[in-house]
Amino acid sequence: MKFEGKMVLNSRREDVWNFISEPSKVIECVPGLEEYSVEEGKRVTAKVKVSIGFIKGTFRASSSVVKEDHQNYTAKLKLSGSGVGSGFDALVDLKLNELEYGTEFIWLADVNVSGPLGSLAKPMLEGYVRKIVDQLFDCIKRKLTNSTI
Amino acid sequence: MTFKYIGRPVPPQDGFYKVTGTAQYTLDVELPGMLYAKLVTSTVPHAKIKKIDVSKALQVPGVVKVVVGKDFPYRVGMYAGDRDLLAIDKVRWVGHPVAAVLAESLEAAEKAIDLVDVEYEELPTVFDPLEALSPDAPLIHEKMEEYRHSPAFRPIPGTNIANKFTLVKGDVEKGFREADVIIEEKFYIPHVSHCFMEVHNVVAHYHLDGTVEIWTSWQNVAPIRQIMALSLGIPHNKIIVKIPYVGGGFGGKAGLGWEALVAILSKEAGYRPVKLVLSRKEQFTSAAVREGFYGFAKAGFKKDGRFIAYDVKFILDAGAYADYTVNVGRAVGYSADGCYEIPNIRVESLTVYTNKIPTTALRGFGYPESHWVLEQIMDKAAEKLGIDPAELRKINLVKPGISETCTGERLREDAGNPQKVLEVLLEEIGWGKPSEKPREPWKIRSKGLALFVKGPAQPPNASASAILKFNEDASIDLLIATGNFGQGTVTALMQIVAEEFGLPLEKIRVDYIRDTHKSAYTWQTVGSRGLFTDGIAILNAIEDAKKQIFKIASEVLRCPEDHLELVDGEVRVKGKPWEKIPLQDIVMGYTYPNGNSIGGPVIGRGVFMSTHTTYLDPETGQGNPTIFHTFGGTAVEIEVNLLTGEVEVLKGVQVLDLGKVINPLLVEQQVNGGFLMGLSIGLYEQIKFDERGWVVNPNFTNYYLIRIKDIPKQIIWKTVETPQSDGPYGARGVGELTMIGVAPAIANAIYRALRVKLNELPMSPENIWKALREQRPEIVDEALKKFLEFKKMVEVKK
Repeated sequence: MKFEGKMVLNSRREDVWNFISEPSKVIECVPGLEEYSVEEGKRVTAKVKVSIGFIKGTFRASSSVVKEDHQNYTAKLKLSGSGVGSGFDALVDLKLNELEYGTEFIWLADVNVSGPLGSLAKPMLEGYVRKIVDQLFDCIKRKLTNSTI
Repeated sequence: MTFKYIGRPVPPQDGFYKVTGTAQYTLDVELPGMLYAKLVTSTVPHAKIKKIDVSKALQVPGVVKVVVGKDFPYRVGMYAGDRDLLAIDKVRWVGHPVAAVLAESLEAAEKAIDLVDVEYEELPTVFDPLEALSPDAPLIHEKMEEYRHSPAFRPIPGTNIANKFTLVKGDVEKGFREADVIIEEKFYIPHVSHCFMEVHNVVAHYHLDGTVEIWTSWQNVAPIRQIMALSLGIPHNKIIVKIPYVGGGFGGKAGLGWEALVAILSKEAGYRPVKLVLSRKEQFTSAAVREGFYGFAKAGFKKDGRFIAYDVKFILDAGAYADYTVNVGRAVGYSADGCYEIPNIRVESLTVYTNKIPTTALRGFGYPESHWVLEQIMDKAAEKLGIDPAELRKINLVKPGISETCTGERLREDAGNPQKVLEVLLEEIGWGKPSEKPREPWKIRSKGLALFVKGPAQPPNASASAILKFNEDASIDLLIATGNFGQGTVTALMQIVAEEFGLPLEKIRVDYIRDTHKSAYTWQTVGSRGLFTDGIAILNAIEDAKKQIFKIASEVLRCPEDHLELVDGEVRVKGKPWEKIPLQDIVMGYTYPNGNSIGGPVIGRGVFMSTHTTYLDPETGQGNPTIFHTFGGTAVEIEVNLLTGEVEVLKGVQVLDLGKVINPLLVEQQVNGGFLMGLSIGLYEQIKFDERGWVVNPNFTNYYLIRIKDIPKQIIWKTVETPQSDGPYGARGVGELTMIGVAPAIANAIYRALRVKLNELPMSPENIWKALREQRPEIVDEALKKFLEFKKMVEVKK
């Protein structure tokens, strides 16, 4: 399944890049986060609570940076996790475009979801992903604003 | 002959303990210092294990140890010997146990399993057994040649074939050349779960002196001991296996279990007892389930209805491990001919590894699969030949005493009366009489039938034994190993003892805890064999005890032994009932008034050993595989909603030739249970996998099981009693076969009414509706028209 989205952040591209390059900052914005640890090479492992329809429980997930290109402001992340009888893995491409008054954050995720979670209809999953992403970016926006103040 | 206990509807004797809550299950076993185990399972279907990091898990308070497969690289198993205790170098399915956490509490163990990090290097996968047969398919077991397998099976190293079974009788090609009508069909059955109430659970305690004590929710004690002895190298007398009450088995607790793993965990934990309890989700994803199945059949008939050629190929999707399924593959192969005499037959049955859940036995053990194919072929052939399906069956039924099965076994004269079974079946379902018209015109009613035969799939030397000890008051302790997991066999066995000694049932005691040290031996309680094999062993033990009793009594009564009889708990001289001694005066030895004594405590022992069964020829499948054949038939009257695809069974009939019914109440319970299980698997059940091998419905919300509303209004059963001379009172087994005919009978009823083929299970509303739409769209359109007219009419009336 492919998911994609765009978001405009009222911060400078460099600030956004610095923020998202710090896994410990981004991870704290993940909704439902219960615990996490950051390891060597920006690898993050985390325990996250999920609730999609009748499926509720915690996921053990990890992310690692596959590619990071500061010059072009692009990055590729690999995510994987399992829980509540289901599993997922994803490759996420990120790109930051500089705008006159901020930064455009573009993301594209190629996600494989397995198990009961994967059997949910795509619109249901999309709705959940959308909600999570909105919450994540709201948090990032908030943190960026606070840090610039 | 009139009996006091045999043939009586005696209620199951363990019912008291169950309804009063005093029955103890393995789940109730708690030992001092016991640890709890939880399994870390694979999240990928096929991969090399690169690294397992247990450091974070060990930091959880209460965690004692985390063990991984490399710590104990044993191979375990009964038939294929292919299984690891925990994944050693690679994982082979999503759900494969990779590591085990041992903790002081279940909560700590559950928390810690999430913290074990496993790094995988993914390998190419194969989920379909047909693709797994391709030479280019990824190999799931690279070192199959090293596995210690039973000589009855033929694994093919270098392929994904765990067992190849072949059978040839007659000349199939010649048969097809001579056939007037040829039918070719493909069939499919998905994986299903056993859905017993009590999930797999084990407690093991490895003692410092090397003795291993096991408590487990399993069907049989002896095979656990055997598997552990052969696989782990522990002497048999150092392994004590105890099975308390068990909440259902259905074959899913008969093969390889978790006992060896938990025993090793106990040792690894510093000789502390360990308990492992699977969750329902783990039961679906990490424990063995019933295999998936493909059947490819070609059948040739003469115009007059004679079935003269049958060429059939079965492919069993065994999943990642096939330890018990190789025997299912063998049984499905040699039961291919069902109840019919087919002179030319060729069978190939391949048990194939894939990257799915491992598989095992389920009630019926391959026979539901072979009959799903064959019994539908019969109806399709009947249609082509223009012969009534019942008549076609009558033409081809085996004739005991004359006919040979496909394995070349001549059926003994007293093997049963399949003709009579069919006659009774037709009469009870009202074959030939039209069904009543349903009230709603978008529904149709129809009748269908299927015949079947079943014998236990067991090695030729599978034996049983019984020990019978008298107490001072002439009550009896009966020591048997017969599994007691809800089927009621033990009650029937107690009835035999009560009958033979003329004692009230209350005087017979069976310990419901099976124990390898205290119970007698029986190979296994599977395949509907318990009453037959253990019943014979008990009868032999009774005869042995009677000899001892009559020897003492003949001295006391001064009468030859053959002039004595046992009546109502007394030894009497035949024809002189006043010359007698009560049993309690003899069974511990007889003491004369002056104190002189003779005899001693009476202990009877008896065994069962089949003398006519053989291994099957590895190339031709010829030989005698089974100790009896129970013939039976199922007929149904159904109503199909053409708009929704829903099937309602209005009436179900089961007719069985049981030889002799020992307990009609238990048979009725088996018939009801088997019919409903057959209905559930026939109409609803299916483990669904996604394209990455994950189970998407590992719970009872998404895995649809039969509900109260689905139960037929009427299930009736009849027995034909053709006693088998060497069976206990002539009886044969009943348990599994009550579900074999249900699904094909429903499919045949649908086909008769609609000419819609349903060669795939389950026949769910969705699948029936889809089949209707694809094969006969005009029927659905017509039904919709009728529905709209009916609705309009109702509205006008309002």
